[in-house]
Amino acid sequence: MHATRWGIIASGQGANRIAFLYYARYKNPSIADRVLLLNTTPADVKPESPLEQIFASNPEFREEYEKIKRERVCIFGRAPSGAGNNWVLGEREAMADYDNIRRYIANLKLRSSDVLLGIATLGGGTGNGSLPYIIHRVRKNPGAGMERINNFLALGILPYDFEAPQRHFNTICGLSRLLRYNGEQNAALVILVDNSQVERVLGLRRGQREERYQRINQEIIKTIHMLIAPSSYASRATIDIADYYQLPSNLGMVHFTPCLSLGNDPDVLSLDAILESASTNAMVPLDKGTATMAYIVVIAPEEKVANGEITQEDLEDISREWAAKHLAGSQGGILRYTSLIASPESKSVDAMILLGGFSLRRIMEKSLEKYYDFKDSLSDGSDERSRIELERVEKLEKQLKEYIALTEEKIARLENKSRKAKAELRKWGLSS
Amino acid sequence: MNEYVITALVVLATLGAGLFLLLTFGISFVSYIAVGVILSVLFASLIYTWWKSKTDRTVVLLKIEILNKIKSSLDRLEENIKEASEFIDIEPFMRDLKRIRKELISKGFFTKDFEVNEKKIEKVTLTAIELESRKVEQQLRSLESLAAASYIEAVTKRLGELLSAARTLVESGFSVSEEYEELRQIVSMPSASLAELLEKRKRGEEEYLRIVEKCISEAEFLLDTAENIADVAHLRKELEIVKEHKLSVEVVHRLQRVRSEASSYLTKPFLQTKKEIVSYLDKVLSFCSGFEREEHAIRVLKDKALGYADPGYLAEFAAIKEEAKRLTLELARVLAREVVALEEELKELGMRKIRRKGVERHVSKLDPRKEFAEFAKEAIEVLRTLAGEYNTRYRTVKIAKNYPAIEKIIAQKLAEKGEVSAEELKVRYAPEFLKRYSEAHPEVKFEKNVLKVKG
Repeated sequence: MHATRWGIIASGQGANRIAFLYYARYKNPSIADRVLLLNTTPADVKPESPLEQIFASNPEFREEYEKIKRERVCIFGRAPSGAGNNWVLGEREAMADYDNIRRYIANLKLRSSDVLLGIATLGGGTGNGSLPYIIHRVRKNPGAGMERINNFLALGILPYDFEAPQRHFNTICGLSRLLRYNGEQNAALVILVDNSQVERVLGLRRGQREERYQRINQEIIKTIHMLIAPSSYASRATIDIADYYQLPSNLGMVHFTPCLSLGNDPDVLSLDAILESASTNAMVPLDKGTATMAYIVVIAPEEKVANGEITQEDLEDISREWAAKHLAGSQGGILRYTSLIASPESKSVDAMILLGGFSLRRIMEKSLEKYYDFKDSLSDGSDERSRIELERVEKLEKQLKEYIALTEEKIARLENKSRKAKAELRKWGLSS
Repeated sequence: MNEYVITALVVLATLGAGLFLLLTFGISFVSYIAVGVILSVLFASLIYTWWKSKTDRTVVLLKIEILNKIKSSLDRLEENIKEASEFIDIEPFMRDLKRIRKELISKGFFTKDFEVNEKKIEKVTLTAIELESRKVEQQLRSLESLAAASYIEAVTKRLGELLSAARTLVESGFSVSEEYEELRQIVSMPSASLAELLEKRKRGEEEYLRIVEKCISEAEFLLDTAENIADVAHLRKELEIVKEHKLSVEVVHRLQRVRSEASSYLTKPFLQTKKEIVSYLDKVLSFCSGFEREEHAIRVLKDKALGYADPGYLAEFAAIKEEAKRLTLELARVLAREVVALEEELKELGMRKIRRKGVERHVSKLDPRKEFAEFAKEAIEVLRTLAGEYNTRYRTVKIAKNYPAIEKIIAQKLAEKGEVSAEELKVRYAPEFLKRYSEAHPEVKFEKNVLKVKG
């Protein structure tokens, strides 16, 4: 099978850290050096300053950075102090300097069949402002010297629960623009990760904040690794990258969240238990049983696959049972794919469930109040370049509401069908 | 001959030149020149004579070498033909060789004792000797081809008989399969010249001899073992005859008879030993779980033991017992090493409940010099102890390492329906995980493999 080539575009400081750490640590052949770090850091500050902590943890990473910095680090815009947590400014800088950004993206030498993964922290200004616009341009009108790339996925990182209102305001605007841009579908898939939820999953209660950030970032790069894994290994039933976005796009629901269960001992945990374990680790807060789609990727030791202890058929069966229990409706949601990957290096079993089309209620619940706090205080006083126009915000709000309504309707329809089916059974004198 | 003519010509030319100089310059001047020329000629003659004698000696040595080569070729062929005398009539070949020798003597190349005649060959040119050498070589080649053609049939028949006899021995149950295979390869070796055929026969007979000797020693072992059960004197006599005629294929049936009859006396001890070994290896296998390399080696040995179908193989069991002891020791060492490694892991995990008791001392109890039965009895005890210690620690490490992931699953299941059974947890050591959860969470109780929220 032809291996899919991937590229990563990370915009903003937080995303830069994650993308660079992933690149330096995994050296994934599916990515090679196709990692582009975008930032609006002013010219008098070193572009590598957000990565200093990473360099301190491993001096070899600085050498890696030196190798790529000329062609893979793009500083865009002319704002003297970056985007300043203002997504409008981040977007405008990207618009104004798109030709510069385009040259760097073209230099990744991606073909239309390749896949791009955009990473941004949704609470900030640079990544949150620029990434949705860049995705829109690359998918619709990339400009000279570049092919249109439809397979542009986005990884959006949601802020901590405790963060200030403007960051939650940015998040809702960013989420809306990642899902739809100018009324059209934007990213092919939007994968959401919530910092506070990851902390909860990892049980990080104590320790230095910086150390906790590092742990969260590490968890996110593991997600990226699992996402790309089907392209990196000769899997027996690879989820092709086309499957990641085509059907969700058709269903009109493209938001997902990863659930990881890594380093499982195959001598102790059965595949059932591993999937159960993964489902306790969703990376955003979500209501159980509302997800409508699931992509399941399992990486198992090659010898376990070769001797038939772990098979694609078993995984399919177990996934079906798992989905019936965990996804919306009694039949296990609308869409499900499973992929078993035999890894010669692995001694343990790693699993990722990409849950999709779930209710966004819990995510909105944590941000909505802060969103309104900030929105209600907006005025027309600021300068034109950085002004957040209320009319635009209203449009984004409406767009997101429509998206949420569609999602809720699909979930409700599944639940109704399930209820009706049970009622039918009862009419026939059968209990379900 | 030429040199004399040249010398005469030079003398005449010198005299002519002298006469010319005498007439032109007078007697006194010419006498000086004449003395000078005479001295120069004398010196040149000395140099020439020295050079000439050296060259002649080299040619003579070359002639001797060629003739010696002819002699050694003749000797070698004669020797090979004599060696083949068992299977072919060598008289005509010997006659021809004699004729060739006589001719060489009559031509003066060799003395009557067939040594190189150095005096006479001085008068013979090198070319003439080379021509004679080629002629003789051709004659010898023809003779060898004729001899090989006569010999090949006989040697093929002989080797075929040996191979067939060896196969009979293998089929009778003697442990000579490897040697038989070696003999088969020798027999199928390509050979055309007489020398190659002789070599093939020699190697074939040597290998066959090795086979017979191995069979004799196997048969002797059987007789020694059977002696306590029955009278085997008549079989020993048979074996003596075999020993006297090892290279004769006729004795194969005697070997067969000795093995077959001795085996019949040994059926009971054979079956007992086989059962003892197989049963021991089965017990050892029960301690091999998780140690694939060791398990495979023991399985191979067990299959080998099971493969011995009749008492004739009783001798092989001694080697199998030794191998079983060796593999047992290896397994015990591996188990002890793993126990120590697990101890280290437990330390790292902060589990101090299980204390190391010095597992190496169990291994040192095993003494492979002891009789098999005694060794086996002790070994099973040692392996049982080591495997027990290993399993306890292995389970503890696995539970400790996997608990954080399983704790979440248990919590989720409890939240769903207030209870979770070991069966539905679908993990190894499920009861242990549930028990551990109950120890860490006072709001639940663990009874009859089910964890329930209290109240």
